[in-house]
Amino acid sequence: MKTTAAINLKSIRKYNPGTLDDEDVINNYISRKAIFQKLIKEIESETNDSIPQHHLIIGQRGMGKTTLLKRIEVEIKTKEDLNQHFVPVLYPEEQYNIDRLSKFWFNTLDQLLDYIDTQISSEEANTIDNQVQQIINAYEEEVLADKAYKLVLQAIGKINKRPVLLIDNIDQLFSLLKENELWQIRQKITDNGAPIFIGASSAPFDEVFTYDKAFYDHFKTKYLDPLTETQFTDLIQTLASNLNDEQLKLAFRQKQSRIQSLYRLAGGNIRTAIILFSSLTNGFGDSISDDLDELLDEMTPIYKARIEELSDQLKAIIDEIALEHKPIDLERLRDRTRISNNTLSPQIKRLRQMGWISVESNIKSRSNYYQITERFFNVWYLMRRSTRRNKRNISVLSAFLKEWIENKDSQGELLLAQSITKSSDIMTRLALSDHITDANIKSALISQAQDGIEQLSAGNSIVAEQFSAYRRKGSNVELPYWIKDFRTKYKSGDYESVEKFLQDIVKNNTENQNAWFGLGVLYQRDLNEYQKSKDCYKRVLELDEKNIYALHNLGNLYKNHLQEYQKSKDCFEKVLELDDNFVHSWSELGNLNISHFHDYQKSKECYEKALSIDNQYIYALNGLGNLYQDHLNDQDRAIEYYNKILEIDEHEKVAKYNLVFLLRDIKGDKNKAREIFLSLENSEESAIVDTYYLHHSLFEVYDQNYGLAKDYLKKAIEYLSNKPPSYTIDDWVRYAAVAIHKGFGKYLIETLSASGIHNIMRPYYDACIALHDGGEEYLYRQSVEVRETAFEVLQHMQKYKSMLPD
Amino acid sequence: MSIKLGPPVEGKNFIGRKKVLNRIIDMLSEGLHVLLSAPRRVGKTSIARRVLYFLRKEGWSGIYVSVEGANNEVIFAQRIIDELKKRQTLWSSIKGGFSDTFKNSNIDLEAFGAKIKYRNSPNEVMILLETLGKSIQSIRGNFIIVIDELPVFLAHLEKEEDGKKRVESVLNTLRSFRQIEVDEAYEKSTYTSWMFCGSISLESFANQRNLAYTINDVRSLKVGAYELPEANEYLETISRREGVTLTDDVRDYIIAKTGWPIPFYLGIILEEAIISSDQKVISIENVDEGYKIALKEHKKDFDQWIQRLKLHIGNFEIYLHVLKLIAKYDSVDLDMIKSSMVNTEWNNTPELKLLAILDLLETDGYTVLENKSYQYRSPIIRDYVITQFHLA
Repeated sequence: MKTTAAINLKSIRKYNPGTLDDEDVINNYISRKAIFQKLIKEIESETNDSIPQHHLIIGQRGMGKTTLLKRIEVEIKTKEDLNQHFVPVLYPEEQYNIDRLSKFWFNTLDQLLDYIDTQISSEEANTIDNQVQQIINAYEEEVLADKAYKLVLQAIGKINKRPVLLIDNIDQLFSLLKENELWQIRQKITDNGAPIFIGASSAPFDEVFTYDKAFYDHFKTKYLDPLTETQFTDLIQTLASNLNDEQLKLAFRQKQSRIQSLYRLAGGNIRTAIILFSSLTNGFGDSISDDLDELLDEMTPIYKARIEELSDQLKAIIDEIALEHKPIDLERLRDRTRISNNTLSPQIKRLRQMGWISVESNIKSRSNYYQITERFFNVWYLMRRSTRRNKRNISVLSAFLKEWIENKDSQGELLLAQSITKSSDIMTRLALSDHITDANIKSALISQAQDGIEQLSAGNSIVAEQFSAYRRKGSNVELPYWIKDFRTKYKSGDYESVEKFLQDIVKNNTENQNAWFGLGVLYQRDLNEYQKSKDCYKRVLELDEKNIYALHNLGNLYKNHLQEYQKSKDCFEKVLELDDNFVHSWSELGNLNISHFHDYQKSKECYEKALSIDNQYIYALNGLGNLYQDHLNDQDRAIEYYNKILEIDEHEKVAKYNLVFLLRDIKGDKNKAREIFLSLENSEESAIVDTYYLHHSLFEVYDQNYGLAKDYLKKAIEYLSNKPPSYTIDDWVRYAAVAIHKGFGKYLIETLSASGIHNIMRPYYDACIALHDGGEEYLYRQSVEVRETAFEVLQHMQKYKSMLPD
Repeated sequence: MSIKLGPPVEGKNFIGRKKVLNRIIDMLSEGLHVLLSAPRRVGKTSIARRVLYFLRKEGWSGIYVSVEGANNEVIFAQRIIDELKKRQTLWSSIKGGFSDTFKNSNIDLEAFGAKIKYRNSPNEVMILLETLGKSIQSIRGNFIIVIDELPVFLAHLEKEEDGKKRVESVLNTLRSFRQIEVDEAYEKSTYTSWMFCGSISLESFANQRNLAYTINDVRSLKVGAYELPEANEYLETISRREGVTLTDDVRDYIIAKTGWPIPFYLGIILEEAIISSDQKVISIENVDEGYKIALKEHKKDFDQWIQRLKLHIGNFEIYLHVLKLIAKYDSVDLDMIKSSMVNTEWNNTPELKLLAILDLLETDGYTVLENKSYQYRSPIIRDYVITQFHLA
């Protein structure tokens, strides 16, 4: 893992990265690293006399364009291999004085002369400057522009380096120039040895994107897409890791799901993420709504200023689109704004070019549907301008998102725990024992690790031998006294200390695989920092490519957190090449073959292999149950496997729920299903009241007692008390799939709507409509904030529905 | 990763195309004039510049002029003069020829460094073009002049006032530049060869306007995709340069994905496949992922297939209808196309007109005709049309 310099939090800029010094620019650069490195590589590949490849970066406001250009400037300035061949020219974000081509070249020349003045000789700079004075008022514009460019070339000749022109808002610059001037630029920049243009714009624009315009084909375009959920949370966590307040730092880590929910409202905008971070450094609110309010408050001056830049007519259009919240077509917009088509269309085009609005491309219609591009602006606008009811909808939406995400995460943890807990604890303890001088603690840790090894290596002499070898090695590295309470800290969730401790070890000894491994586990399981976790496991594998635990966990990480399934499969297969008896990898490979490669025969073989090693391995039994139930359509075998699990552990709730579902909805054995369901009711899970009523409702749906079914559904809704369900969203999803399948869809939607819960569970409600008769097209017509989660919910519903008999 | 995707490639970045290069050079060396047609992104400008490079090595002088974006004869002439001026020796030998023309227009030849002040007087324009033609003809030694995107310029000019006439006049003037008196040719014992390039077909353009006679002395040559060994060479070279490995299977797979292996398609798929992989060996899955991303990230480069029809073809909607139909059904015959037009505004389109439409789509690189059925030349263009028009 790379060690990075600490970020100076005071030097984080929300708007003007140009004011930072070079060191801060380098240290603060967290997002967009891949595209930055790619552009640098592209620049490096240009020779002195090549016809340059020009580049265009497109991303809406706040996506990191200005910072990226600044970062490139600093890189060219500070890296010797680059600054020997190139000189960066970073233009101010706003170039108000440019109204003709000659001014653009003179601005460029100014910056080159600055460079000559400071790096070469003032005399040379003055000579060219004098020539500027001689021509500036002596020629008409067309000739002057040519002469100005000649002076630019003359300056480049003096510098003997190729200029890289970094132009923010290049679309605005081009719009200030006449068409023939743009063609003149085009002629010049396609010459050998011409300056390299790297431009940035908030939206695609005609001069580059229209077939017969000057720069069509001439810019290699890269889009700065909104940050993904992982990138967004990683950015915030990276910033948080530099805080001095330990408690606050921990809060950031523990509030991961809240940050993820805020992401779904804020969109993947870097600037919003940074403002969110700075707002949360004042402390998290009691609820997600408090955090949302705080963030909205922070954004108010920015958004107000931005909307003030618009003309009255553009404001009126934005007002209607924002209030609509979901995508709106031209006809409706015309009715709402009462602006005629002839006027409206060019204004819409302008708003698109300015990046304010974009077309929802997934709606299949002859007319375009428009929505606000920066989603958080829309949320802000609704909260300021909308009715009380709409404002409340946004607040409750945030609460639903949080519950949905937490629900998803808890499944993730379960999967993660099943495969890494044992080995990680052992490895962590061994890592510690290597470095502890206190004989008692050292011996206790080794002993605990040994217990773990015995469990893990039951029937596996190879694993036992590997760990014995570790224990025999020993180590003499000394560490501070405070590590004595390390284990307590780990158990109590003081991950900061654990992380620091392990980091200290690897700093002293970069080859300590146990500590690297411990860090990998810590980042993966406890701190949700997956990229760091990957780096740590990879480091272990650099030191020992045959470390099956690191390989296994890396496979798990790829599968559960990084969504890189082929890599995950490669890791598990490598483990099994090294140790054919590693039961966890067989089981994980079984899961992977079901969920992502859809190779059910292979999956079955994997689980069976796992059971041949340990016939009581619950995860493989459950995996086989799922496989037979969901994919091989052999429900009897599935029931057999779930029952086997209950023989091993009679309280195993997953198997029981699966059995209720299977027996009632798929096998049609309602009595047996009810019996098992009632046994769940008597267990600890009976506290889940809404689930209880949902099941009752479903039993009534089967009997076509729709009145009773509605009554039970209402009771389930009442239990929610105008809040989204906690922990039971999955049951609601399963309920909807079965209810809609059995013809209860219309009543379900009516009941949800009549009770008002449809606003509180908007994504769920919309997914129900989509599943009932609206289809995916219906979801594309909803606002982005609702839509993305609704798609996830729908996917889960469809999966359940596909299992049901016709 | 630094695959050039836009500017013409040269030097070590120019890969393959040996056959076509040799053919063009042979033709030019025999004193023939060449018309090189290919859709955008096929690499015709790179080929043209490469030809120029080789001929210069053999002692020719020459210039490359892009007239894209020009919309009148003066800008057209200005572009040529600008390029001539970049070659100092050439310019000093011919600039005298211009002096009378410029004197008459009160233009200082040095200041004209420069911009021509001619405006809309047809007479002055004619004098300027004639002077230009004579100047070019007076160049000593073998000389090659490459005019890129001539048809695009003509299409723009046609939209100007009195456009049709002016297009005819320009084509005739250019033709007259190429007609050297036999005596004069003997005296020179050298060639002045013209090479025109276009992303829309100059032949179709001229034929549709009954102007074929203006270019009947020019040999037409269409540039298509790489041949298989060239496509392999391209992928091998680029992957080696980028430090990644492509197995034979993966190379074949990329080529099959493009269906029509032009350097641009191969380049964007390979580039995105490399980015989507963190391994040194590129897999089939990486290619699939790269293909998906390439379609999205390079959408504007595919938009040209529709935009160029909109701009240069009348009755564009019927072309689009046919393209969508072929995209939707993968392969369609004439009967299917006819029946798709029942109950539409094109119901009574004569068969000959329909065949002409299909012919243009084929010559302009959209489709191919195989076993009496029309298909997309490249699956990428088909996938683009499917995505763009929600045909899935």
